[in-house]
Amino acid sequence: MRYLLFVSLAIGLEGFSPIHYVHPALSSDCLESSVPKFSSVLFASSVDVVGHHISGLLFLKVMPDSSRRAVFSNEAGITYFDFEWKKNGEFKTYHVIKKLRKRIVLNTLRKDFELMLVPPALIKSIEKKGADGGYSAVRKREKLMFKTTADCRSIVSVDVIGRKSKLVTVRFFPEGKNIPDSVSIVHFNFNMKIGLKRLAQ
Amino acid sequence: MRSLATILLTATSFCSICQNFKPVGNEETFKKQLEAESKKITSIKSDFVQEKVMTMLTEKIVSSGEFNFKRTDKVRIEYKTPYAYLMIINGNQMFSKDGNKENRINVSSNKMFRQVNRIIVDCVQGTILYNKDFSSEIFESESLYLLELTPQNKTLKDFFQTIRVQVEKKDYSVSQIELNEPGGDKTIMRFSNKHFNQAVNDEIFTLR
Repeated sequence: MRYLLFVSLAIGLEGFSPIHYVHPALSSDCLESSVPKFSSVLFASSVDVVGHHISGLLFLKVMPDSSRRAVFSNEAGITYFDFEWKKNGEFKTYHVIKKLRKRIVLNTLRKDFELMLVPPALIKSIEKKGADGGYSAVRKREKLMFKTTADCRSIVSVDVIGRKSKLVTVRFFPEGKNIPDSVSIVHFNFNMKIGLKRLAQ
Repeated sequence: MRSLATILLTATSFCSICQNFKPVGNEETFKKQLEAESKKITSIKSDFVQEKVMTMLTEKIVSSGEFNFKRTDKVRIEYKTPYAYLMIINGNQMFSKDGNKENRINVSSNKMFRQVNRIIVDCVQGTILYNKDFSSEIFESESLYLLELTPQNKTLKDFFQTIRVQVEKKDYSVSQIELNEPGGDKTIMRFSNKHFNQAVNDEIFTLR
């Protein structure tokens, strides 16, 4: 169970100053229509972090009030964490096991899964459409770069950029499918990969 | 008509919930009887259906697979749908496999896994009531015993509020294990199509 100690995640996520990515004003409608639209979805999940491997199930649900929930459990059903992103941008932790109750761990998990759920508050923060067809947003000290398909049907990738370099890339597969069959989340400033594969419910 | 049949079938499958349980008369006698009867079971092969109930989300995740036990300390739990996941306990060794990724854990060097290992093995061995990690209450209905276990140590309390184990009166085999979490979620594992004391190859309790 010591695998769950992501203490070593405390590398390089601090110390970035705000970046404002300004481009000529364009609508973010394309990104909104690209955001995965589901009432609930279940993924088989594997997490490889600093040499350790954890697997489990990630259940995502859009609640009637438009808030988003993410529940991660192991295959035997034990819940590791239960997060909520409210419509107004507030984040709430309903449940988290003791081993994960560390600020840096919770922040990393929250920020990673937020990029999959793209809650309404995050969409509101989208600034402009870039010359490369992407959208950007500022999340505290990071810049988020969203790339959508040309037909605005789905998100292709999200890059998280720090002050000096890329920190995280989220990729959605296959391209063009609004609710992805699989998702990969790769961290570049420390060794962590999350793989998600959609399951039939 | 089909919907009526569905309702009846559903009601039947959950009738254990509405069983009228009352405390057993003599707990010590029951403990010894459970242990003695369980010892007669040298192996179990069964199917299982697992249902994770997320109370606040009003959602369920249902999975199923095959369960194998060989006395004294070999357990194989293989989830087949909707995901493939294999967990093997073989003495002090615990293996898991998800996709192509294999994990080997030395249970003796990891307290949490050691406790989980003990719970699973104790449940099928009939010795769970002697597990000092739990306090217990024992109930019975016409056809079942219900063992309600409450964790006594901090590590287990973080994961479980109670564990409820249903034991068949007719053969003292476990019919259902219910894991109740502190946050209100619960996971119910129901065993069916049970075969006892058949020859079981040791090889299934190793990763190949």
